[in-house]
Amino acid sequence: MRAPASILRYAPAALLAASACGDVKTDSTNFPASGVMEGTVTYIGPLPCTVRNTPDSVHIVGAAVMLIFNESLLPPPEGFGTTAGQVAVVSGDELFRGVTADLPVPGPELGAIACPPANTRVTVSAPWKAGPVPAGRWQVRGFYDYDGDFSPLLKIHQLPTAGDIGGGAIANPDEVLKGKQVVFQTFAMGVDPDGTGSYQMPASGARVSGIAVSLAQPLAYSRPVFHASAVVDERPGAPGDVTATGDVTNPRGAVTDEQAVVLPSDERFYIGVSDVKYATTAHKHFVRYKVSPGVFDEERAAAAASPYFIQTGAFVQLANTDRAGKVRGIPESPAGLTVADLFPQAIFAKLDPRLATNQQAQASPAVVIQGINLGKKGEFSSLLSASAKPTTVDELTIAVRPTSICLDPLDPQKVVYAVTPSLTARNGETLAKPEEIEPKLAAQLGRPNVKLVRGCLPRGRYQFNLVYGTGQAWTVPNEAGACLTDVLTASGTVRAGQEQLAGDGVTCRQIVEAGPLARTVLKSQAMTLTIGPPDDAAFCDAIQGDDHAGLTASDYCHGTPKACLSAVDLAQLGCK
Amino acid sequence: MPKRKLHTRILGGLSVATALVAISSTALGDDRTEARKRFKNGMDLISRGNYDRGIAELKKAYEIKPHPNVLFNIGRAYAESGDLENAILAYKEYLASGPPDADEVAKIVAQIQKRLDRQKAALAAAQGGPTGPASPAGATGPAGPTGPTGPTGAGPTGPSTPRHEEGPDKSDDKVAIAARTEDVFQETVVTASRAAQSPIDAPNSTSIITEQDIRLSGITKWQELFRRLAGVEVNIMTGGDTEVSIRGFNSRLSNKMLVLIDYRSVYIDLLASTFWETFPVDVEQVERIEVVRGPGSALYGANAFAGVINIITKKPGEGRSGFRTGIGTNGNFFGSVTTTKRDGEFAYRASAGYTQEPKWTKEVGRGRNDVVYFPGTEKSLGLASQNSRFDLQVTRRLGKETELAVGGGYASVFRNLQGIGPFNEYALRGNLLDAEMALTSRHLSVRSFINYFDAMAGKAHENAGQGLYLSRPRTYVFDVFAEYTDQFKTGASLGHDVHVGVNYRLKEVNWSYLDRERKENWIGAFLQDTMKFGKSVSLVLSGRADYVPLLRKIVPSPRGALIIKPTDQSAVRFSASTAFRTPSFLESYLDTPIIAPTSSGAQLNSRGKSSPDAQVDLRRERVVSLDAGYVNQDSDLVNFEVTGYYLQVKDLVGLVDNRIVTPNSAYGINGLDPETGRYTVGWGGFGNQCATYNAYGSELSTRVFPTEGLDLFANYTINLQSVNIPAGCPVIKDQKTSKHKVNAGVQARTKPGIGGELTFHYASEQLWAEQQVPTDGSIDIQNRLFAQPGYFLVNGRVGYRFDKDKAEVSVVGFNLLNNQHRQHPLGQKVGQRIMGFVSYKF
Repeated sequence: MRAPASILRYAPAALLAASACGDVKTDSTNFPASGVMEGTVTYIGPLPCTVRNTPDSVHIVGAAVMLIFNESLLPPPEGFGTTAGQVAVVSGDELFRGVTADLPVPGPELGAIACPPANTRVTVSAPWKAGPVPAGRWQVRGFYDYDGDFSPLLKIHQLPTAGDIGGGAIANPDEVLKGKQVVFQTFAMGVDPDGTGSYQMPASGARVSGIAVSLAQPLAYSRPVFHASAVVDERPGAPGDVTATGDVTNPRGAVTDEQAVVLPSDERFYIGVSDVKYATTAHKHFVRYKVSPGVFDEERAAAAASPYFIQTGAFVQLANTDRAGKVRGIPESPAGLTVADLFPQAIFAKLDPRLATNQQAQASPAVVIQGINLGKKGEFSSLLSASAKPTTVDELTIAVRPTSICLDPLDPQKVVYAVTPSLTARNGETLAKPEEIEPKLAAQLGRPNVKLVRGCLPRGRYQFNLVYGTGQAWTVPNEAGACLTDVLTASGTVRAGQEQLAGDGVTCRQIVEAGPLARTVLKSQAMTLTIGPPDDAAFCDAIQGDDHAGLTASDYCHGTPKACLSAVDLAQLGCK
Repeated sequence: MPKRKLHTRILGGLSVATALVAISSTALGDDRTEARKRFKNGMDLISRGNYDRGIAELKKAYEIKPHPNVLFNIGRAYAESGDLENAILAYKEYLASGPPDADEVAKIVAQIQKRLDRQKAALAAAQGGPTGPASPAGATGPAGPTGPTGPTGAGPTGPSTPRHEEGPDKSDDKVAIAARTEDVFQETVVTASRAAQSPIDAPNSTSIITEQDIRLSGITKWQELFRRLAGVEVNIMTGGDTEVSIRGFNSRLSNKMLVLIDYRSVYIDLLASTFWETFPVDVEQVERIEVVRGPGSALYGANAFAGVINIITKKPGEGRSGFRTGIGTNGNFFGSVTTTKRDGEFAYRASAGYTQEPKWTKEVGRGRNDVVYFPGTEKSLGLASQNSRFDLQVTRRLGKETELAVGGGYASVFRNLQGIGPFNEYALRGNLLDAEMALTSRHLSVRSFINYFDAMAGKAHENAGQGLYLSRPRTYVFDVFAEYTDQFKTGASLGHDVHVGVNYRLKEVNWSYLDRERKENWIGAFLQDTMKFGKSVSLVLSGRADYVPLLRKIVPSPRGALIIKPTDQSAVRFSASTAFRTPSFLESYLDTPIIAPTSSGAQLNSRGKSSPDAQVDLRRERVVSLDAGYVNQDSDLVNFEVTGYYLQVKDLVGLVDNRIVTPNSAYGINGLDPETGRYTVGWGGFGNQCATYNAYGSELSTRVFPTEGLDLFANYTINLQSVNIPAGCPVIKDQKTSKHKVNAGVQARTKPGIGGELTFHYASEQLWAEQQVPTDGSIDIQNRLFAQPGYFLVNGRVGYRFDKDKAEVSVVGFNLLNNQHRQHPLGQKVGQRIMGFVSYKF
């Protein structure tokens, strides 16, 4: 036994030597590398207000909010993104730490607010930091929530309102000072090894520092809070109901409830509505919403109260322009004419179908229907002379374009499908020529690869958005229109609701937190647009492909391109 | 792992096992069992007058496992046989151990010495020397069959036949010495009844990790010692965080088991957990570890929910001084020095040590641009735990049965653990102090301890846009426990062993994660009566009442056990018991805003009971247990135990899914928290689950001693679970405990000094509902199911003792087949680890 004994005596020494080398392996499965964005936020504007929130403490109202958007998911009007990828906040207390001596002191009662004179000006800075930020290209937009009504909790409170100080990480600050449109800087997070725009996060993570966010642009008007006050359905009931000039002699008038408009997924025109000869009558071939600012009259008091604090005012209407100031037209503008694209723009976004009461837009694929803002007059002809100068109006007409745009929000290289039931009207006239529309849509969407294809519209519930050029927007349905009943979580599970509708039918009471907490439901904020089953199912089923887009029968589900349908949609339609 | 490779590894492991078994063919076997066998044999031979062989057997027993009583019996045998000189030598050695009956034995020695002197004088007279006592001197021997029962209660052992007639008796020469026939090598437990008893008599299924298990396994990590036991689940989370649970209901921080060191609770009330890596002692100071399965609140109050683990350290003056040091892969290090000594009535044991354990894997490496690190860790990201410790224990006898013990320990620690909820890797660096005092006498004992814990804690790393949640937890616990015991009879044959105790505990906690500094006064009282109906039937009735400040109520915890012993070494046991776990300070008083994972500007307010609007009203976790078992140690060849149990568990406390803040309840100004500068978008915290769990299980354990040199053990555990989930109850059904668990092993020692152990462990798959930060951009922190595949481990150690068994070198391997696996779905991937050790005992 001498031999093993000797070996054993030396074993610890051997291990001692072995232990000197060999590091613990890294397994980042539960903590993958990510990115960090950081920099300085500079505020140039009036001194902020102060509020007493406890007997002994006074705080500065508001906070600087930095919303970090994926370049592929920019919010309207540039894109169809609805949620910032990351949010950073610098509280007013921190931002104005150096000028607290200049601020007014509120009264002793709780909630008392004191505001400095409107003509005060101050420049203050503070560092900010946000993370994790995934790989990709990002823009930083921001604002100072001057009146303290921002809240990430409610979508209706997630965007700046009148009086807030807007800005972001701006690429052309000098031009902006001269009144030009803001261009935001884009920051690359991670690496793009093959130059295709497909960014990857290196194992060491990434950090983009020194991002200067300037908040210096006071927002002059409030968000386009709206409700649907009426719906107009003058579509012809039969081919014979359309005159040679496109006028409608016998309107169908089937859609009457503006709070629950339902259109068939095979909605088709009888005439070529984009033809210049129909400029004065084309609007009659669209289902049109009449929208008014604010909420129903009977809801105004509740809307102005906690927790909504909804600012209402007339719409500010102006034409969309390019950086040179030239008015932009809608893609279907007939050759030689510019049918202006008006702000506020109207966008209908398909809601996630996993929960019938959901208010969240479907994430992938994103499916939107671009509405057409026909202004107050409600006719295409009135848009030919639209001005880029803001004017206030107390009513807008929004036409529902029977075309869905389906895109992968995160991959700009993927094909974007613009789906419409037919490229020709029932009278044989051309509705749209792909070779003309596609480049315009590509430019509008900022996507290189757009295909206009035949297909029935994706069925489902759609939310209704009005968006200003400043990014200020309003969406219905929103939280004000319903109790927080069952919530669809990001992982796809349904979480039990936290509020229930009281017996009076208009009051939400919290289930978990017993007590007097309650709020009034604003029915005007509950409307949806629904794309329902086709009037002619055979028509949809007959769509078996699109040569132009290279789609075959297997790419369709009951006439709708599968690229427009989520897994839940496919299951509901019985397709794989 | 490729199949062929796996087979190769398994074959390799089996080869090692075969080699070890082959080597052990001349081995010495389980030292306790063997010493016990030799002791019994020796005493039997002595009682039959075969002194030479009997004494030789006792000496071998003493050599294997020293115990003062063996020396006493050797001395007695020598005296009986007339070898008075050796008798005196043996008794003096016995006296050197500082026995409680030292005065009595000293008289015996004096008497024998006198007798020896007389013998010598007589011999001298016979040879014409000086006149001495009447010749031949002597009596009938120092002890005889009619001698009175000794202080330990053992009776006479049979006829004795003195080898030499030493002359007529003289009354002043008579020395009454009874043999100490009690089985000193019988395993003894104290935890299940708060009194020394055989595990066979214990009202709960009790296992023992012996000193031999510790030595032969080479294990230095506390938790790994328990992996070999039936019904005990050991889950490695990180290199510095291994969780131990009993009979199921595992959790990411195991919170249903009470761990004691010599009765001092080391339960961290802050988190309801045991920080094994922070103890001031290590395995080198351990005499044995008792693991009691099943609820123990009837004696120990709150948190003895699923079982009690009591680490019994060697008493000051017992064992040997020495050191042990080891070094292994990835910077694994263990060092321990112990010195122990008795000087008359005074004894001390001092120990110091340093342990360093590496992580299994690092979540992040150095130089991550996106990460901030826990202060001082960036250069040692692979470090899982560090422990620098010192402990001093002293005892002083104040009388025949009264002893005062005073001690204290200190540990400076760093620990990396797996947090809960959105906290994954969590780090803690701090200091722990403890002081304890025990005054024990025959009927009354008073024990008191202080635990102090002061640390800096926070996430081990986090994205720079989030936060490390650095904090300073501090806890202070003062505990005093007084117990009165008495044994008496009522009626003709009904024996009572009564224990009555009262307990006061002060808990003070200060942690920035909590709403404010908290101070709680706990009071408890218990009563236990072990009634013996003859020799074969015992009925144990226990009950404890605890005032729980959080609940503002008194919580009763009754227990009853019926033990029927068909033979001395076998028992059938039926028990019914209840226990509870009180919500931890964190669960109760949490007040920490958690930054939303995908929004640096938003937070989830995690709040506990203190929150006026969280509406949290935590209840205690409750368990009712029914247990039936049969244990048999009749044979010297094989012992076995089979146990079946049923547990009904209610009101488990867990993290609730985060709730979205409804509009009117946002904190601060329109949701902006002025303290943090972030918007509150939800709240979370802890809540009682609405489900009722029923667990059924069985444990089958056996230990076989087929031949000298071989000690085999094996056990199998089945744990089945059903859940009653009422309508609307959002509990996700999971299976956090393996349904099947198998352990087997072989221990061996050989005459040339080579010894070791090889063990195999298997745990079947599990399913965990865990909260984890979503990576899909949402703020929905909620429970999701994670599958944990089954896994196996083969561990082993081989060592060589030399220099009269004082020195030893050994190599210990964990996961010898390098089966890469996780033991928790969110835990680190476990690989192979090898350590080499050197030890020397003076």
